[in-house]
Amino acid sequence: MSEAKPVWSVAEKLMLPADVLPEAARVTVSGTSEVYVENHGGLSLLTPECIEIRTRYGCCRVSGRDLCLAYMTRTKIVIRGFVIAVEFV
Amino acid sequence: MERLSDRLRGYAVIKVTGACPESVLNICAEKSLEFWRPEPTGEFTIVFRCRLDCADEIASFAKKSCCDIEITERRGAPLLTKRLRYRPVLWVLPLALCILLLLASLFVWKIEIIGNETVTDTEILNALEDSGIYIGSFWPSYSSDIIRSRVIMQIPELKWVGVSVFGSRVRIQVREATEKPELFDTDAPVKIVASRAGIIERLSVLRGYPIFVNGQTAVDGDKLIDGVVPSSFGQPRIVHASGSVLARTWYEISAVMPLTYSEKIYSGREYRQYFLVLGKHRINFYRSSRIISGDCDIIIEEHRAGIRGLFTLPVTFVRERALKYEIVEHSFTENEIKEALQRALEGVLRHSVGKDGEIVEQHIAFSSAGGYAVATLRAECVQDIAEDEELTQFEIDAAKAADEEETDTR
Repeated sequence: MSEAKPVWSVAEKLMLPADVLPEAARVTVSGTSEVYVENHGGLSLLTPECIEIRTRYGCCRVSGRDLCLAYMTRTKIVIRGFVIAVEFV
Repeated sequence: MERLSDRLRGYAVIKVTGACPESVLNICAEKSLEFWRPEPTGEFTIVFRCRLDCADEIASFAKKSCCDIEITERRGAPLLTKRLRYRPVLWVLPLALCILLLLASLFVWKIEIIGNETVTDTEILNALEDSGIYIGSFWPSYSSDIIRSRVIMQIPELKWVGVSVFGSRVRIQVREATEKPELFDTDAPVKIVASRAGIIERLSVLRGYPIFVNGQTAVDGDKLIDGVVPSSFGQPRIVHASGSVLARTWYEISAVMPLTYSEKIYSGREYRQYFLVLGKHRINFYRSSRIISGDCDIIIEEHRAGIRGLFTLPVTFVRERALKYEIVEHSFTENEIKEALQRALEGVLRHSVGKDGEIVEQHIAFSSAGGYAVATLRAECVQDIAEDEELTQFEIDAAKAADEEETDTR
């Protein structure tokens, strides 16, 4: 987190979009049925109601019902199920 | 439910138990080891599937992840193949059966004939056999053109033959040739005679020379309109006589029927026999003879091996049931007898009178004698009694000779 702060501030000053930041987690939610997370740092919790994914700038928590890990590689995670909330904690 | 591709490639089920079982999934993702369907089965347990060849590598992550990793089962085609290697019967027999089925589908085991109305199936089957199509023949060697031309040459009543092969089933589609319509030859020497005796009510001549006039009585076979037309200027003309002769006719028709009838009453006793037909050979599954004493109806049920609409095999399982019955005599009621006889007599009368004929009056008398009922129908009708008959050479010569004689006299 401490390493990321200067990068954030530089990016903000240069008015660069967040996409270009290295290792910034990108979360794409498709309706209420799928969440696609890029640049993750691994799983920290896996239950049908809650899946927590570590990212460089915090923990991304996906809450819902009947959640399952559909796909996971070194950089990508796909979660399927009924998604209620996506939050960074 | 696993995917077919996973079953074919094989997979292992892995159970991870520990404080943070998710860490094993993280290591798998880190090392690009494919896994799917991770399911938490308890607070500290996750079960997931992976490829067979990755299972042992994943099991070695136990220390690194501080979890217990257990391979609970291994499944899929590779394991099955490994097991079958030591039991050749289990795979050799199905394989041999598949090869046999494949080879059997190259031969004809069923011939279907459709489209024939007057030509019988037997006639067509005989012609097909001569052309090389029979049960057990090798269908890839068929030549549709040769078969078509041979069958049509043998059966001229057919105008078109189509041969379609569906696996081991051959469908022969035929079209029958339409008969040439009978042409009305206006120059043919034809006279009109009476088909039945009657009093002529109206005689209409379209062509020919009328012999009778209205009100005269004609008997069966009398010449009504002559085909020889006399001419005042030369020889008599020979024509195809035509016309209609409406006459009043009378009928007396009798019909007889027994006063009793026999009825089958099934006793409920049933004999069953089974046998298998392999091609033209029969294998009986019974020892006794097929002759059953007493009256019985035999019902044969055939079950042919194969897949409906795709292919059939030359194996037929047959069940033969013999249902025993007794004959019981019953009597008809008076009304039933009258109705049956009246229906039969009226049918005969209607047929005799023809479509255009009219029944003016009819009366039926009933009687019974010697266990039989007799009905006599008397009817008066008006019908066309004209019937074509070819003029004989004698009649033609006689007409010409008479004319020459008359000319000589003049």
